Amino acid sequence: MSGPNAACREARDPERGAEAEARGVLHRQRCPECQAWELALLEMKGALSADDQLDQLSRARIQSKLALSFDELAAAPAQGPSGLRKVAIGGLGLAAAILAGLWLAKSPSDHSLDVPSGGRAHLRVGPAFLSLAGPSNLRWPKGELEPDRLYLDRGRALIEVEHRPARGFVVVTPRVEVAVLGTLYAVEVGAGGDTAVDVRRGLVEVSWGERRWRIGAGEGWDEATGPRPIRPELDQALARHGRPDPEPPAQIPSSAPAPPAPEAELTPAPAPAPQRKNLRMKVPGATAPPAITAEQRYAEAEAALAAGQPEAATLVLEALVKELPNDPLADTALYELARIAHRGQRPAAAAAHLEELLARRGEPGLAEAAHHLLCRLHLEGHQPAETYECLVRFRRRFPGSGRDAEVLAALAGLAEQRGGCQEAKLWIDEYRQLYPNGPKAEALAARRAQCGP
Amino acid sequence: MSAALATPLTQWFPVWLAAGLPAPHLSVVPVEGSDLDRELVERMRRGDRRAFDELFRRHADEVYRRLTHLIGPDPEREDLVQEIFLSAYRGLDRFRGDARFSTWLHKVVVNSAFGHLRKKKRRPLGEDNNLTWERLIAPGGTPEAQADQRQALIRALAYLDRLKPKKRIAFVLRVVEGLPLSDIATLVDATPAAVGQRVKHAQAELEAMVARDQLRHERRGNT
Repeated sequence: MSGPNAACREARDPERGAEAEARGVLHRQRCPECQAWELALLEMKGALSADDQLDQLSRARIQSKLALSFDELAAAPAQGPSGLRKVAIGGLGLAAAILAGLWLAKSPSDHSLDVPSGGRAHLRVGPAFLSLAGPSNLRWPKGELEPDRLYLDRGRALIEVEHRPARGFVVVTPRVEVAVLGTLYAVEVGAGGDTAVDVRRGLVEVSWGERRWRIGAGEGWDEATGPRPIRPELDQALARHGRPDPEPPAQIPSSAPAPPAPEAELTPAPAPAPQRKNLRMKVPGATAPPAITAEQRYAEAEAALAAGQPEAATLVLEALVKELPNDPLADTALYELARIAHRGQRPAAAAAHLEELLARRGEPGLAEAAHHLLCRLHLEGHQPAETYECLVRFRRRFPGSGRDAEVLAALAGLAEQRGGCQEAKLWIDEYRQLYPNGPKAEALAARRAQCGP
Repeated sequence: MSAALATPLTQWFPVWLAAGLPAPHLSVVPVEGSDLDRELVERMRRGDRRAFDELFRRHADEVYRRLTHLIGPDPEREDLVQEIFLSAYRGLDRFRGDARFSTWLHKVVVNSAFGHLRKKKRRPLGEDNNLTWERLIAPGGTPEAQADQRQALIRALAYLDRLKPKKRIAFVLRVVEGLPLSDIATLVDATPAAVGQRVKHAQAELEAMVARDQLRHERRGNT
């Protein structure tokens, strides 16, 4: 090992005294090895600090996993698999079975609220304002300073969660966990524990066993279909439950021509909640932050939207992107600009914003939503070839997307328009192979039967 | 896009009272951070598991930050944070209260990082791991600047990955975190002198790596 000379090492000695430090400063100015080391050290510090902040979804995930582990620890000595647990798990997978079993073993020290059939209850727990429709049962931990975890045994809960930058909020049902940031959504639990989620505003993450889906505004999820559009009755109920929406949910305008084929429908693109995350390397000596921060700009835009002034919001968001192009919130701003343009019937502007966002390769969740919205713009613009290419690229870039079944079905429909049965059947076969119980499986099977071998 | 709810909490108290339930937000006397930790630990020992949730909330960010400094942007960090808190939960009986809870937890983090670095054959984050790099590199900027940043990250992490875990941890705690040798010694169960040696050895190995790379770079430049 051939290290630099003694003076150079002394200059870098963390235990050096004042005199040695003074010598070191002089030495470092002349010694190229020292300079290389200083640079390498700076790079090492930067690399270790580049992503050292825990984001909200990770925090919520860790918290829910911890809760399960604690329950497991508490339940392990006393509880074997009971008959009740076996009944509860039915035909579900192993992970869901464990979750259901643990649910039954929950601590009796929780508060519990039973709403009888036909009754209603409105309450606030921690950051959440809830409306419960009977019959339903809700529990939350006793003695919690500020609960951010609720257990919904059964029934329907409309929930509005206050946005808190450093904390998540989790609703646990017998089978799934729904983690949110700040949003307006509904969770419904059937008699058998089957769970459905509908989101009107914001972004939630549904965990079912090992699988996870991110469900955005205007979308829903249930165990049978996975991601799907929000149910209209829940959308309306949520609209009544929550504060006035800052903006209407994205919908295909009624004046727009019908989509090319039922299989080629795309559900409204989700609106991921803005996630503030410092992803940049921290380099000492960097220039001071600008006078107006991205958060301030974003808050201005939010206020403008809440006041029903999309034009003003557009100006503020454009300013954010222009003034702070390297801030992660600029990505979110671009996505919101695209959504505003889309709702304002300006597809070209929306596409331009989305293209810019996709070129930046920022937050993957945002990129997925942006790519999806871009494909939808092509579809609404009656550009089947562009839609087809866009969807193919989408599948390539986001292979594990929760929208994959929907995209595959759309591709099958578009392929049939392009080249008839022969071209469509490859997509149909892939759909049936990957999603044998998917919402379009039956219709596609019928179509496939007409195509021949 | 959601602003904070403006409804005052007390507005909902009648609902709670009608349901015969205590309001969830009963007053909490503000106490100093470490005292609150101690109180939460006591509650935890009395079987109040929710107190641990509060401890998690208070310390999760710091645990994640410290863990990241010790092991780098490893994709397993989320699982490790979970394990750290689970270990703390299991080992709470060993917390005697003569140190701050945060210091005790820091020790759990260091042990966990050491176990992780030792158990796993450290493999530098590869070029193919695009997602990880995208998370680390600042968005925007020219493609050249992004490529430079990426190369700097690869280089820096590769240096650290070549160190043995004990030396790496001592080096990071001393040089990156800036802790005094005596504190590091407590965290890693060693004497300050032993820690000092580890730091010096780590530094010598790293500077040799840097010098070799520099030499290689100069030779390439000459040819």
